[in-house]
Amino acid sequence: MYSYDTFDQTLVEQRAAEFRAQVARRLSGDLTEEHFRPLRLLNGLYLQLHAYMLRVAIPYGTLSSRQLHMLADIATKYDRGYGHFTTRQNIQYNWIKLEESPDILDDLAAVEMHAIQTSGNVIRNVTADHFAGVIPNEADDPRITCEIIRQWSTLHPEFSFLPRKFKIAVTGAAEDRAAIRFHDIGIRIRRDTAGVLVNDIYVGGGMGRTPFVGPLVRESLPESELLSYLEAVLRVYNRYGRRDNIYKARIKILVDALGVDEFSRQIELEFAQTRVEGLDLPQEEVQRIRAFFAEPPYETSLPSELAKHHEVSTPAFHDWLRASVLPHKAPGYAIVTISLKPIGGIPGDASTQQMHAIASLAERLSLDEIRVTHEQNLVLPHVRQIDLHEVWKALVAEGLATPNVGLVSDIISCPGLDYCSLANARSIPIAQRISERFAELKQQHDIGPLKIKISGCINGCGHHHAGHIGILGVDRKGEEFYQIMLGGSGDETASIGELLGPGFSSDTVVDAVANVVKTYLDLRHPGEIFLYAVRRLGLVPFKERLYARS
Amino acid sequence: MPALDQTGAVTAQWHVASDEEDLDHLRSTIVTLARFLSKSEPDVGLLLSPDAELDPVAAHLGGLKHIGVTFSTFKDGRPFSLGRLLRSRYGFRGDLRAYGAFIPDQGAFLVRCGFTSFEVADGFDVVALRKNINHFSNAYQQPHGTAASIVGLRQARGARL
Repeated sequence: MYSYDTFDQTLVEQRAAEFRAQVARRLSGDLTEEHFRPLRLLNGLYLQLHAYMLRVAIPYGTLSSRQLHMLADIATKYDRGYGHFTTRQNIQYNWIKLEESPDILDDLAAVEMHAIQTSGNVIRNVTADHFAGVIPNEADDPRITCEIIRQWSTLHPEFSFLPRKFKIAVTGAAEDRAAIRFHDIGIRIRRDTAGVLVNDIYVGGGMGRTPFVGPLVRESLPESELLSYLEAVLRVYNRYGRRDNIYKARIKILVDALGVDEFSRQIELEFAQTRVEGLDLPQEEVQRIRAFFAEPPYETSLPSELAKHHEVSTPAFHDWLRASVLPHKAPGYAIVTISLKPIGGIPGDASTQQMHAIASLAERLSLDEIRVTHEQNLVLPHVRQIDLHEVWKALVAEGLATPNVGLVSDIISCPGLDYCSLANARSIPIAQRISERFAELKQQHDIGPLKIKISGCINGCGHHHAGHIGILGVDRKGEEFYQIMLGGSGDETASIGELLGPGFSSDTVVDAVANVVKTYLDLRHPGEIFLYAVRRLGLVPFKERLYARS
Repeated sequence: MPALDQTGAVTAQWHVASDEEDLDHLRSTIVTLARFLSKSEPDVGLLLSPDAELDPVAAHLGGLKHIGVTFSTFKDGRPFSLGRLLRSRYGFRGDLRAYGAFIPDQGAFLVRCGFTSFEVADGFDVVALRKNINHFSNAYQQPHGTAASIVGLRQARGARL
């Protein structure tokens, strides 16, 4: 993984020092809250319902053991002993004191981390496929492109006061695990027919109150021209994106208003200029960054034990293997996903002890590396297959072996009204109750792959538009109500869920979800997963059963 | 309403002429884009609003001595784009001054985008502005001027090794 040189290190240290001075000016009254707010947001510090929240950047979801140990220590030292992994591969701490926030940034800087641009109207922390570099059949490790983007976008002098936030995601695989078409810019790296690496660029996707699946705006962009192309997109957006209405300020609205052809024409005009202005990295610098993502020293001639594990294992170990373990590109290795979705738990939360345990496990048995997924789970990306049983036992001991990855109880949820000042309704208790309803594993296996995603307000941090079943919390005359939508997906077949009908109260929404799942079980073809059944059947049979007068 | 150069030192103010008044050529004067285009007066500078288009004045920009760009609010980042365009694309070599509602914490970004001076209101935190301008040793992006970016510094270091 990438490692800071003195330039990177000096920059994050100076950033932390700058923030310390800004906090001091705020506390002394030299800075008004109006002027301080955007400055603290640029360092990931929000003011929530009960306290400040600090969102720490985990660039493209990659962590070393040392970094995860530090995140665990921060949870104890400055928070209440836990952290919350988010849908953008970051971690949030929910009980932060303003006066202590500069100390946290210093602690982060000590392990090559920061909270730069995890909030505010800027280019946010860039996200990637969480299986980057380890999944078979990838055109390129997307983290190389991500690190190039991270440096280019960090404290960019021109693009730090954009009309609205700006999110970029990158994948190097044909399967999309990064939801690239729900981002302001989604980048797919692939090889063209000559075997050369090129980028397909999608612009103007997004969730929130006006969801769009991002259209393809530039096909086969030469990899070497990515930064000058991004500059062109950001400049057109910075100059012409709407600033009069916060709800119409994202780039998706500009793309939609101009139409893809006209938007694309304007970008190409600007790109014709930026590409000759020396903005792209010299090849030596690309190679320097690329070298950090070279394959780790995998052992060769390891036995391939996956099949054997499946044969001889106990039922509990077998269930976990089935849910959590995927083949790795290196023979004899496996990719292990750690569920942060215990039945009845808070999706994405991990305690200090759990974080330390995972960090130690990664140090010992996953070549010192951990990934964060946008589905709020963690990944041990390089586990030898002969070590899988040991890894499983260690996870069981920490309550981290729930065998539900990809199943109905592996729910994405935003923090909702339990924490967030924007929320209209609580999300976490709904997620907890749905997972309890479907607790029985046999039933979950019968239902098969099903992604439920819950947001507590229209901003959609819980990705409800992209859920096979999406749940949106709304406020109806002071009472929490939940709308249900079906058929959304964030994968390579990206689609936006369709609203089923009138919402449900907090008391009835879990029954409603169970009703939808029952309809699917009754009407599916053999082997047909929930998403494809919804696409085949449409909403009508689900509506008929759900809203039938009983 | 003092004016500061890019080190934060006090410098001469420019007169912002209304569209009607007669010009006084004894002091540096900037005029609106509308007046600039309609009157073709010699030796005046230009005051641009955040939404200004540069193509209509492109032919004149290289020869101007003074350009001001107004911030309507500090949250509106369009002046940063105008700064970079004026410097890197339109060849403007004169003094580029920020006007309006920018804040001290934007000083370094402004300088890196090619601004060389600031007009500030009374009570503006000049100390914070000076600190901001000089706070970061380096930047990933190529700044306006002769300083190298981090990318350039890495290249130079690589060449020495």
